[in-house]
Amino acid sequence: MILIELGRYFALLSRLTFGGVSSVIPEMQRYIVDVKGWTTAADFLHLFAVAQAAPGPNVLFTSLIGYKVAGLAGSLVALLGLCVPAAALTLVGPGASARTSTSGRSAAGASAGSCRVSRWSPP
Amino acid sequence: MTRRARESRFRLSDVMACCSCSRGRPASWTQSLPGPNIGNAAIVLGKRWFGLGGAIVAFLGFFALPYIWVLALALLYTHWAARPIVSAVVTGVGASGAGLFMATAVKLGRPIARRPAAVALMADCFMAAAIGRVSLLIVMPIAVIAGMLLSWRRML
Repeated sequence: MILIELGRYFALLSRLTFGGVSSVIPEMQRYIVDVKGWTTAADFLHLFAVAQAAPGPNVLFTSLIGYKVAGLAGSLVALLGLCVPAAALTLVGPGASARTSTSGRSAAGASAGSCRVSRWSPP
Repeated sequence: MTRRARESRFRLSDVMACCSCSRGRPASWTQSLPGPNIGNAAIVLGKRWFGLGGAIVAFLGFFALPYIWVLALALLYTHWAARPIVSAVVTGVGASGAGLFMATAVKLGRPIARRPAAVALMADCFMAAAIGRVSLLIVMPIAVIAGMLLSWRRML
C-alpha cells in the first residue's frame, strides 16, 4: 500500500534531516521520481516552487509531495513521517531539558555526542 | 527587564544552536539534530516552558496554519497550471530555489575548501549522490563516519 510505503520512507529519511529538510530534498527526488516514478521531475520542481512561495517552514514541501502521491492522507503521512521521528529525538535530547547548562556549546556538544569535530571551524 | 530580555535571548540562541544548523557557519554543523529547524525549536522551547504537552502544542501550532496555506496554494496551482503565466512564475521560483541551494553549498563549502581531505570527501559525496544516484541513506552514514575518522586523525 502506497501510504505505508510513503510513511516508512519518510520516517527513515527523517533521521537524516540534519540542518533542515533541504538536505534531504535531492534524496526525496531520487526516490520519488527515479525509483518509484510517483511523479515527474518537472512536477517535483513545480511543487517545490509552490512550497517555497507559500509562507511557513520548508518542511511543508513534504506534505505537497504526499498530497501529489496519495491525496490528503498522503500529505499528512508524509509530513508526520518526516517530522515525528526527528521530533521524538529532539524531545528526549539533552537540549530539551531545563537542567542543561545555558552555554550553547556544551549543550550542543552533548547532543551531538562529540565536540571534536568543532575543529572544522574556519580560522 | 533588560536582564530578562537578555536572558531569554541567550536561551533562544542556545536553543537554536542546539537544534539548527545555521547556514554559513560550519562550526555549528555538529550542533544539529535531525529534523526541521523550526519544528525542533518549537519542541525544545515548548518542553522547557510547559512540558510534554507544551512541546506537542507548540509543534502542531507551528505547522497547522502553514499546512493549510500550502495545500490551498497547491490546489490553486493545479487549478491554474495550464495558464502560461502561472507556469512561468512557478518555473521561475523553482529556478531561484535551485540557485539558493547552490549558493548555500558554496557558502558552506568555502571555509573548508583549502583542506584536501575535506575536498576529497565533498567530491566523493557529490559523485555518489548526484552522479551515481546512490541513496543518501547509504552515502550519508558512510560520509559521516569517514569525516569523523578524518577529523580524528586531524586530517580535516
